[in-house]
Amino acid sequence: MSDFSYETITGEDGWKTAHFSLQGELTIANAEALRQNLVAALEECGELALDGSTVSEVDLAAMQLLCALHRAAVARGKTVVLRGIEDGCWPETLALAGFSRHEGCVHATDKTKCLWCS
Amino acid sequence: MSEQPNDAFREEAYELLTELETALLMLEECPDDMELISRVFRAMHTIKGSGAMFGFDEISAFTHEIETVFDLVRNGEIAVTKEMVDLCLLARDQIKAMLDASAGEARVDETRTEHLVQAFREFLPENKECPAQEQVSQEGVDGGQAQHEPARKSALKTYRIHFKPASDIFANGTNPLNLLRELSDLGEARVVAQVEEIASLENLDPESCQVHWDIILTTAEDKDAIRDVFIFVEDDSEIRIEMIDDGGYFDDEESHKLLGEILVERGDLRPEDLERVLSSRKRLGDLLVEQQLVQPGKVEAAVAEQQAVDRQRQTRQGQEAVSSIRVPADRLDKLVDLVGELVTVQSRLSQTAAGREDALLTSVAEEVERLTEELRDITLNVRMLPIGSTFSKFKRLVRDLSRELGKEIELETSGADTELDKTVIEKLNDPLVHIIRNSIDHGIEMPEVRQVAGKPREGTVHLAAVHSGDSVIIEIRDDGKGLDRDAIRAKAIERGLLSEADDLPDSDLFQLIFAAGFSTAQNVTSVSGRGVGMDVVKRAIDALRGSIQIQSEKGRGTVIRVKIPLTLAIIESLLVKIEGDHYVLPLALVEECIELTRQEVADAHGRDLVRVRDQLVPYLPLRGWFAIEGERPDIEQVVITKVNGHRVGLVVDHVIGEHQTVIKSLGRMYRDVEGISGATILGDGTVALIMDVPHLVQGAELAERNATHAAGVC
Repeated sequence: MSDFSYETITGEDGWKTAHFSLQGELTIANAEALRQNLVAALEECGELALDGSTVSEVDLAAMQLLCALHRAAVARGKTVVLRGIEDGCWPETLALAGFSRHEGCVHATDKTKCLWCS
Repeated sequence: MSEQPNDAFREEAYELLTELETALLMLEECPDDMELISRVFRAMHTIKGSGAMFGFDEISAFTHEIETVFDLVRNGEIAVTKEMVDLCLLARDQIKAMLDASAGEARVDETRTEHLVQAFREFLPENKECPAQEQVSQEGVDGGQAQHEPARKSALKTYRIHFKPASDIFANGTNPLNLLRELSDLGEARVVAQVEEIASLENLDPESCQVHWDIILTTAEDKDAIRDVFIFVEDDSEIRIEMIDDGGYFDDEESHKLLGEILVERGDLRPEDLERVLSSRKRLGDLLVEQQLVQPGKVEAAVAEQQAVDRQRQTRQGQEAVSSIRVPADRLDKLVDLVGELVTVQSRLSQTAAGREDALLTSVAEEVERLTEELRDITLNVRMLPIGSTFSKFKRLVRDLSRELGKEIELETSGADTELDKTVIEKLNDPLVHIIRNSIDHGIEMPEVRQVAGKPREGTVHLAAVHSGDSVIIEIRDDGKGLDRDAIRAKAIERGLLSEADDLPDSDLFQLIFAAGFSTAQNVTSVSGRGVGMDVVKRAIDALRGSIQIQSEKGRGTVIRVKIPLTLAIIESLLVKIEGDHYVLPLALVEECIELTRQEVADAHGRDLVRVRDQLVPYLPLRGWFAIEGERPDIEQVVITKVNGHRVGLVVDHVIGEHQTVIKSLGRMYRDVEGISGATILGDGTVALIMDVPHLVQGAELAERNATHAAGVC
């Protein structure tokens, strides 16, 4: 059972962060479901914090989706942070798919930051 | 011609056998060295595979038997033992015999083959015997069991691969990641995903693939193997495969691609933009990204490419194997000949230009001279090979011979990378073998004798080669019992080479060993029928225009020094004239030239001696020696030469100057002429004879000795 629900936390300054504690399989099968949640979260909050440490499997479609998320966030001046991708299924798949980066994403305001870089 | 592939195989096989022997000898010292075990295995495996491919089935099958055993060694199932190495060396000899037989020489002793095979099978643990036998019949072109080792190491090539799948690739059931994984299996891959075409989140259809990739793959496989990975998605995807580094073919070109060049080449950047950005100072990649001219993904991919190619280049440069081409030896000989002719004609050109006072002609002639010199140097170098391979051969000789005689002897070498002309190395082989044999047989004592004498049980023979000026000096040194000068003296007197009253310094005394018939009374084992004695050695060294010197100390050892000029074809000489004829002699032997007046000759009262500073130097009046008619001029020139440590003067009419001599042989008719070793053609077309100075000197000394004997003068 994959869980893409998120929790909205409002900070003192009114800044809303959506916390995703991603569970289970992050693959093409569930990609659309995740996408819809992400769209909603992006609408609502200024920052999305995704924790991928409990993801059991990730595929290309998911990674593509997350890139799209990052792009959308940047376009709106919002922030996306992806954590917990140092272990588990992430490193191998990221390397295989060639998503690891030294340089930043051209779409980021902070050019040294890429979604996939720690 | 159907013979050629066989010759090619044979040539390669002989080389492999040399490698096999070397590795086996080293393995004997270090039985646990995996690297050496691999070397042995590889050599055997290659011989087996190539043998099968070229139809040398007997060799292939035999090698297979040995390889089977060695495979167990490689897997750590059995250990290397002295018996195994001995057996492998014998097997190597047998393979060589088979090769020789295939070339039409002596027949192979098949019972021996059988024995060896049996002996090898002894090493196999019981249950392996049957599979090993079956394998032999399954031998085919593919070379046997599931060995993953390639028989030959292919060159690694680097490809740039662009893969853009159709957006519905997921729907078709293909996961691009699997394709990327397959590519990684082919070799070292750097994958860079290009994500700029991913739609924004709101508009994204997660089930479509909007990522494409640039991959740099370094692999030994060829383009087709890479294409095969994409075979099922070919029609719907954009796939481009380009080779960007082809295993070093273009390494010597300055084609290191700069990052910007790569991007422009890939169509990811416009040249104008590159120019503009380059004129500012920041790192190119950063700048390009900053100015949104190139996606970081593209920069990333280009950097990956640059690094991959650089790494490949470095690896190749670090590799020991230097690429080379086989050239038939006679083609090289022809080349050297032509260069020789060119040198001759060029000197005529220079002479002609000098006489014309035409500035343009002179400058052109100078340039031709410069180029000719360079061409000459390079061409003569082409045939130079390190002497190391010869030295390695001797290791086997020393090992076998010392075993046979019950002695313990170690062969040490130094200067193995000293280079000599190929023909010189070949001609030196037999003399060196003989000298080493002598050291082992007569020089080094039995272990017990050595111990009693306070020496280490194991004797040492040390081979060294070093460049010295325009010569190479090869030294064979042993710590044996040295030469017995009394015995030699006695023998020399017995043979009439010396009289009782003669008192020669050791270095000269030892030279008498080279006189014909002086060979020692004891017969050297396994030399029967070859008629090789020290006199043959001397003759061989002389033929190479070299010299040989012996030093020895009784009880401590002997040192034999062979000096050979580096090139056979062209030598720096001194051009002299006697009564209208020209002669040349090697400049290396010349120390100085002094005048000799008629008065001085008269003052010497018939003795051919001249005073040079504080020494009296004997001279040889060449006019008399060569029986040249005509009057001696009032003033003559004495060319003082130094041969074997002795100074001897040669009297000529005029000393003209230095000359590049291209040696031409005199031809069969004149082979036995004493004192002349060849001829050369001068710039004006006339012929000059090349003096064989050592011979002249020796002849003169002998003549003098005979004369003094006859006159009864001490």
